[in-house]
Amino acid sequence: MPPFEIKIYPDPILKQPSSPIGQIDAALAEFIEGLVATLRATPGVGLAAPQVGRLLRIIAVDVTPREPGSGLVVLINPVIMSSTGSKKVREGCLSVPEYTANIQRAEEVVVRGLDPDGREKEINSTGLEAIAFQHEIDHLDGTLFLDRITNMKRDLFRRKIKSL
Amino acid sequence: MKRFALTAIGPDRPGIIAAVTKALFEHDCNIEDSSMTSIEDEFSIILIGSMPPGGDASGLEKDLRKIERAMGLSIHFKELGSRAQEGPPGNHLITLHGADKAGIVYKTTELLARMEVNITELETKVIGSPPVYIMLIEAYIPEGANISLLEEELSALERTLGVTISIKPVEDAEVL
Repeated sequence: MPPFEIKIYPDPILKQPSSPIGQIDAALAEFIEGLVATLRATPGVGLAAPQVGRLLRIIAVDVTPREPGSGLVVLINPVIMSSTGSKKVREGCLSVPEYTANIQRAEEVVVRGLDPDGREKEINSTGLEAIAFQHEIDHLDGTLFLDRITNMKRDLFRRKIKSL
Repeated sequence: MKRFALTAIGPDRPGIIAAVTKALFEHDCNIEDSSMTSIEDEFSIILIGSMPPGGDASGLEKDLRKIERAMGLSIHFKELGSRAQEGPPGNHLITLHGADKAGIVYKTTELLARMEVNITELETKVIGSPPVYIMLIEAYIPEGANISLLEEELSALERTLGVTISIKPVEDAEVL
């Protein structure tokens, strides 16, 4: 199956919320295959359905080309059950090429969803994989990393500290 | 589209950006890339804009002169040719800090220029008392450049200036 075309911001579809999946049927299974094939064809470690133009709550994540992780994880209707810690990550996005920003993310997340066979899965994730889950699930709510910028890039120079 | 560069600097106060960009808006100009920042008690605007082919550049400039007088700014306006190829983005961050003394910026950038390093961004700040000088440089070091020679030269400069200099690759972004 040929990879899908990746939607590039400001394509309005990237700002729309995706709908939950009710039934996993053959058409959906085929779409998931295409989503994974598309992910494989990019330098990215995660992809969400709206990035290929479908407003469906499906994500595919595989950070193992970059660091250890669970391998390929496809989750349908994923939800972050809990998150702990906080760290700054320099993120880029396949849908927002040539731009990166430092984003505050949780260090560790527990994600729950259905696998492509409809079985419930719960994944406890840290490192890049935890970041990827947060980034991809954001896509399902029409949120881009651009929506999460909280500091100018030179915040080191801007921060005012009261003298001791 | 006619491209132009505009710079403005003057005592910081609310309304500088609004005044300048109002004139651009009224002349159907687009603001492309810009950098607008307060620097000590002054405010500076550097921007590249474009105006429609039939746009009235001299009318815009006349309006800008009015704003210049009203807001106490110095505005420079210059028409540009078509956009040339941009250089590659910075791939290294060079930080320097230490006691303030004359020639820190000159000696550091002279060394970088000699090593064919292209600076993409540089900021300096004097903080605290006694004053500590901080300089952040983002620069493009060409592939295949002799980084260890550059590091040697920078540590020699460190000793001459009595400051601390570090150089590290710009952190890679995680593409998600």
